[in-house]
Amino acid sequence: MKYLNKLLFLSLCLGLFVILAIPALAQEVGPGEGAPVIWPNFGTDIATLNPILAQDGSSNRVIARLYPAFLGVDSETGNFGQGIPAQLVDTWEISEDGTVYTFRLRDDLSWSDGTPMTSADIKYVWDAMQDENLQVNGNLAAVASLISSVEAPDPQTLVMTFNSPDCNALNSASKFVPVPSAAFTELYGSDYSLMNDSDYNLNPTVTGGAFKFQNFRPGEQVTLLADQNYPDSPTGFVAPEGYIDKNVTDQTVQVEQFLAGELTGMGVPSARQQELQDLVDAGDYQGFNSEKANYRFVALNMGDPANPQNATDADGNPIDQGRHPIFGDVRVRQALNYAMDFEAINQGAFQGFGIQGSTHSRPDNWAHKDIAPYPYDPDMARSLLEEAGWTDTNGDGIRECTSCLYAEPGSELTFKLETNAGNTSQEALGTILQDEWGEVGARVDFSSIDFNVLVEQLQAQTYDAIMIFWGFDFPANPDGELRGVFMPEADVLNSGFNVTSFNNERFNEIVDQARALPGCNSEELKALYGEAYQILHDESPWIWIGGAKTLTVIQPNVANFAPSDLAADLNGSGVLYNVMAWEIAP
Amino acid sequence: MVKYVIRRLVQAVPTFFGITVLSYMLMAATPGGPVAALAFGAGLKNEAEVERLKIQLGVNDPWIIQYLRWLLGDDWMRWDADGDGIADHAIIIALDANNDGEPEAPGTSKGILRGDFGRSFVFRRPALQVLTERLPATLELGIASLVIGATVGVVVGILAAVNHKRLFDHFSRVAAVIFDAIPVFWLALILLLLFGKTLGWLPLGNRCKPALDDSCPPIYDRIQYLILPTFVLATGLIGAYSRFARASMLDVVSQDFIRTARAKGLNERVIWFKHGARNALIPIATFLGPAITAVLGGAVITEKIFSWPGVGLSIINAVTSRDFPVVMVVVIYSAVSTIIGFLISDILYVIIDPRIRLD
Repeated sequence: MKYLNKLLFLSLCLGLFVILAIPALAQEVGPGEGAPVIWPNFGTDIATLNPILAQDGSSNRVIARLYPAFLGVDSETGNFGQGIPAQLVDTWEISEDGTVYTFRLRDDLSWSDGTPMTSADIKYVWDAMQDENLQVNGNLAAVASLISSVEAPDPQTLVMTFNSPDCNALNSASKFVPVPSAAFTELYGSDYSLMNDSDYNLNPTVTGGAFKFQNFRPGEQVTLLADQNYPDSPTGFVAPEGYIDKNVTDQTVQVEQFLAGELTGMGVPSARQQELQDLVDAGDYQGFNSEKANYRFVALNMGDPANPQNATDADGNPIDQGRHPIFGDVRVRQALNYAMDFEAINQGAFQGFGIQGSTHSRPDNWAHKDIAPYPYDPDMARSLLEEAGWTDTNGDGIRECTSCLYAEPGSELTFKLETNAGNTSQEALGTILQDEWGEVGARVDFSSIDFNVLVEQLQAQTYDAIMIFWGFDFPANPDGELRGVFMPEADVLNSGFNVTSFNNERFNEIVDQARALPGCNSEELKALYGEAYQILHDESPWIWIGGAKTLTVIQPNVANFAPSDLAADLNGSGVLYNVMAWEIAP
Repeated sequence: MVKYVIRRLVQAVPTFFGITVLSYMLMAATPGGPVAALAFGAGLKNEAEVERLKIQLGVNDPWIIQYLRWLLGDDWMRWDADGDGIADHAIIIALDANNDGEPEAPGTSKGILRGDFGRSFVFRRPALQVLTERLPATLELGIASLVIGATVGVVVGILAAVNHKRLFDHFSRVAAVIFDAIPVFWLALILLLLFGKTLGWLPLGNRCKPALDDSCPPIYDRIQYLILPTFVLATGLIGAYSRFARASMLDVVSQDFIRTARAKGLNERVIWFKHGARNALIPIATFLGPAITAVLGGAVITEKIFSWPGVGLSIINAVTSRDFPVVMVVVIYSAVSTIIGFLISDILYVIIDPRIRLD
């Protein structure tokens, strides 16, 4: 009897446990019931949460949580799409001459104060851009000269007229982010420049994204709360209670905080990538490898650094920019490509996760042409240098100009290679290049310097070779990236991005032709841009070294984590674009 | 003493201005000014746009004009006399700085003499605020490490002197050298990994747990976050103060008045700790001034590793990004904290040693 009582008692306890535990184990997360998402940054505070002004990564990452896109990315195709969620635009039509884009907007979106989101919220951005005292961000500044007008004939219609037919018009339109025009008008009236220093920039009370602003603690975190009025969450509601953008200033500590469960996820620094990849492969964490990497490149100054000039004068007439004594000759530029051992770079600077580049395009670019990178062939490099008139006459391992095109006879093949200080991977890469180019007879004076000084030299075009990062647009914007970096109109001292003074007649023709191609047929565009990319590869104003696959890791208890290289939020993230659907049991 | 303090403060004024002039001149002469990186990031495409940015930031003028603008403001340099919102008069600076036919906007800054420290080029908010919003965290960490470092260091030093040439003395001297020699960044990381990761006893950095609340809880509710960074910062102070206190104490106990006290039959404890220690503290007070200044200046490496939101990192960021207004706030802040620190040293002298008079 005693044993029976014990058995009954134990059975009862077990039954109670099962009854209580099962709901806990099978707990579903309802609207705003999930634990907050905690995402780290490297300690740079946000500068502004005004999408018209923001141009730093920290600010844009938070803005992507607070504001919807005007024109977003279809996560199925990786391109702009009609009728997709998470954007204000529903459909669009293009006029026959290719200059007028009429966007029909959704009527189901509203701001957090209840006012509907309308075409006036985009028109406001355009009007603000006309105020030359307003410090608009670089994306808007870049498209301002392409657009002649933006009109809002009714709340659900926006008409954007371009100066000329532009097959990349949608890329330009996507730079606009709707702002709460009613609230902004109340704050600033018609003096848009008041936005520059407004306190509202760090305390936006009217937003339209999946989250709304709660507070900003400098040096610590930005706190956002879920906004259940957001209609575009894939699960129908915003699952996390909030989103915290947390300052964690040290990479090692960031990884340890993630491993201790204090962060929901993070982008893994390259030094710890293999370690975390192993944990992901073992099933301990969720992870995502992205190939949408920033590319490292070496810009080779082709103009005379002792007498830098713009490409054209005020009337558009070409100016003689001289030639760089070393990089003025395409054979030398190509030789440096052949002398570069990417495998050594991959191991030394990219920890084995490298993706080699070959031209100014990434594989996710719809216009990408698969161009084989220069193979590692030091003999070819030496041969090209000999052909270019650089020979080691005195046997010291450094070549001198014997019959070169632009340098003084007898001068050494010596040049400066500079990069920004404080990035160990860049510094490792520079050291490797210094060695590899030394093997073929070039003396490279490599140094890492202050970023501001580097940029000053780059834009003043007084440098020899500078190594830096390039972040490609997504979706790809071939016209913007080719025109803005390699056309003569961008070769302006102290401001333009064509800092190599690249100027190729056929390339210029192609880029202009592609932009205005009637009908914008994608196959024809691809062919044109393919030719442009080939020219860049062959002429090599840059050495496109490549990038490294990145790893993002997420805690195992996060449901609905669905990263994709085809998806992107306002900040281009293919990881956080659906963060509002992440269910994390509290 | 009050007269002395006032006199010292008045004497500090010309020094203060000299520091600001020199700092501004050096900053303006530094290669890679603020415009290059800001224009690069903003994607400005032509010289006119870059020039407009320079005018907006006020860096298009010679450095002396920039300094005057910083000191006295520019609302008197370019102003709108007829109230139409457009500047129509200018002195010292140009009405139409970029020669585009349009006058520039009227000046709005009042200068630091009228309490306007300007706006950060990078963060677009008051430069003073960029620094002061991080001051509480710096003071928390700084005061805690100073109190612990000085207290523990002085006590250990005195005890070492009391136990001169015994085991404790030898041990404390070796420990002091080790504490002084250990690199801060190494110690910080090792302690974090040991106590935060391996043992899980203490948090892995930051000032408090991330939460959806408006602020961190009171300090007594998050003391565990302060332990490791305080210890890291205090180790150097413990090492330095213990050695100095020991030396000072040994010097004092060899003096005649201590022999007299012994001869009078006073208890050893009274001799060491009442008479000896008090006199030994006098020279130690000279270190407190620079220590206070260092505390207020933040601890860059410790802040970075522990993600502590102090002023140290923001100072470095301001300098590297050429954020002139914030850099100048830092200069003022450093100058003022140095003046205050050394003044506190002098006052402590008087408190500790009644023989000393300030005049």
